[in-house]
Amino acid sequence: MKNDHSIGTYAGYGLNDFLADEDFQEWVKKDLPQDSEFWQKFIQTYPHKEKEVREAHQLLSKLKFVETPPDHTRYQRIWENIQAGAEAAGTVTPETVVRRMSPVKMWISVAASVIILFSLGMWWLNSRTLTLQTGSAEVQEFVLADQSTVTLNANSSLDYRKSFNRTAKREVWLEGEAYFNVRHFAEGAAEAPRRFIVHTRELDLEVLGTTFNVKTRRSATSVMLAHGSVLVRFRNKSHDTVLLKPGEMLEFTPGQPPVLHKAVDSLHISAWKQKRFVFSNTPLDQAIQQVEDFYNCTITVKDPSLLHYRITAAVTAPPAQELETALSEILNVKVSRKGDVFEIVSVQQ
Amino acid sequence: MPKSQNIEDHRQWRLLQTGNMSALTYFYEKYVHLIFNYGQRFTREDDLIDDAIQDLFIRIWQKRENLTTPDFVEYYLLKSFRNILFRKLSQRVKRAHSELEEEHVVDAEPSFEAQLIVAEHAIETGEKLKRAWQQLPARQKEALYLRFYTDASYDDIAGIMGISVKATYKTVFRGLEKLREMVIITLVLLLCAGGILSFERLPLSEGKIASARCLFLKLYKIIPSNDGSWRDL
Repeated sequence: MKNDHSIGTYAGYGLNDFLADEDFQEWVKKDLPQDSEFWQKFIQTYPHKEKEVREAHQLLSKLKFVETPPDHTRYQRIWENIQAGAEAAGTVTPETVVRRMSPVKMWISVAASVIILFSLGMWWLNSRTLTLQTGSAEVQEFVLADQSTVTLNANSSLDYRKSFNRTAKREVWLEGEAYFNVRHFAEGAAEAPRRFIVHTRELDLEVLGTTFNVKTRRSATSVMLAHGSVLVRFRNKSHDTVLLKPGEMLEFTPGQPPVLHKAVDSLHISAWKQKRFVFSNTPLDQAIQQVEDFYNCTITVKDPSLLHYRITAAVTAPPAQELETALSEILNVKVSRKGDVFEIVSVQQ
Repeated sequence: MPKSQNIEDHRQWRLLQTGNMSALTYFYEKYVHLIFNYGQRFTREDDLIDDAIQDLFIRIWQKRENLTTPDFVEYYLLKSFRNILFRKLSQRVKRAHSELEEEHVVDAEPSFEAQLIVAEHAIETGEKLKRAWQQLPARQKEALYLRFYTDASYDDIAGIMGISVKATYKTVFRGLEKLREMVIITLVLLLCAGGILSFERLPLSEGKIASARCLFLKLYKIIPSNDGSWRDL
C-alpha cells in the first residue's frame, strides 16, 4: 500500500507517467479517501507538480465508455443452450430407485391412470396431423404457430400436430430437407422455454432457440448447426447422444458410424434456400443426388467412370420445365433423355 | 495490484470444480454481461458472441476437474472467451476468403470498437476526446478499455491479451499520451479559432503550436486564409 515514503517515488513523474500509473488511475476511478489524502499530501510536498496531477486527473476522469444495456432474454437463451450442453457432456445420471408401493399410493396411482387415460383421449383429439409440403424445384418458407420459421427444400414435407404450440414440447416430423430457425420462447409469453424436437427416420433432434439445417434423403441423414445448440439422439440407440456445436455437421447412415465434420461452411450448406446449387470439388454422383432430389427425376450415367469427376460451381437452379437444359447447366454435362430417365452422355471440359 | 481477490468467487469456483451446477450459474449470471459487452467490441455479429459464450461455459463445465483456480475469475473468463471468439472470427474470415479465392493475408486480430461517453458538461473536450480515441490503434483501445471499463490491472490485461506486463504498460502509456496530446492540441486550436487564446496559460512551445496547426488543418481540412492570420499565431 501507499505510504508517505512512496510520495518521493512520484517526484520525478511527468504528466504521461501519472496517466499510466496504476495507483494514480485507481484514485481517479474510485476516489477513495485514503487515495485523495495521499495525492493531496503529494501536491503539498511537490507544489510544482500540481498542474500535471490535475491535468492527468481531468483526462482520466473523462475515459468513460458507452455501455449497452443487458439483454436478459438473450442471456437466458444462451444459458439454456449451455445447460443443454453441460447435461449432454455426460455429467451425473440420476440413479433409479426402486421402492415398494403402499396401498394408499396404489389407489392414487390407479386414479392417476384414469386421469391419464382421459387425457390420452383428449390428446388423441388434438393429435390430428397437419402437413407442410413442397413440390419439385420448389423452396418455401413457413412460419409455425410458435413463430419459428422452417424453410422446406424441394420435395420435402413437415408434419406436426394441431396442438403443436400448446404442448410441453414442440414436435415436428421431417422428410427431405429443411432449414429451421427455432424461436426460444412462445410469442408474447413469459413462460418457460419449451423443447423443440425434430424427428427424422433415424434421429431425434432436440433444440431450444437455434438455427440449423436437417437433411434426410435416401438412407442418410445430416444435421448442420448454424447457431445455438442441438442435441442429436439416435433413434435405435446405436450410438451415444451427440451435442452439436455451431459450425459442426453430423452425418449418419444406418449401419455405419456417424461422422462429425468440425468446421463446415453453413452458408454453403444452406445455399439451397436461395435455390442455388453450390459444389466445391464435389464428386459427380453426390451432385447428381442433390439434383435428383431437387427436381424429383432420375439421372443415370452412360459410362460409370464419369462418376469420378468432381465439380466446382455455383449455379442458380433453373425452372423445372426445361429439365434437360437445367441438368446440363447445373452439372456442366451433356444430357440425353430416354423416357423418364436422363442420361449423362459426357462431361463438358 | 492492491485489489483484493473475490472470496465468494473463489468459494464458488471450488464448488464448480466438485461438479456443482449452481456454481456455473453463479458465474454466468455475474459475468455474462461483461463478457457480452467485451465481445461486442470485436464484432457486430451478436450470434457469434452467443456461440462463443456458450462454448466457453460448456468447456469450463467439461474441464472443471482439471482447472486451476484463477486469481480473478472474471479476467480468466475474458481471456478464454477472447481466444474462442478470435478463433471463430478467423475461421469466418478464412472461409469468406477461400470462397472468393483471394490470396489476402488475413489480419490476425479483429479491430476493436468501443465508444466513449461524452460528458455533458464538456461537450467540446468530450468530442475531441472521442475523435482522438477513434484514431488509436486497436490494441491501445483494447488495453484502455480493459483498464478503465473492466477495471483489470496491468497484470490481468497482460494475461487477457497474451502480452507481457511491460508491453501492457507501454500500450496504455502510449494510448493515454496520444489522447492527451490530441485533446490538448485540438482544444488549443478551438480556442485559437474563437480568438480567445491566452498564451500565458498554455504550456505549449512554438514547435508544438506549429505541429498543432498542421494537425488541425488536417483534421478539419481548413485552408489558412491568404492574409496569413494563422501564421501570426
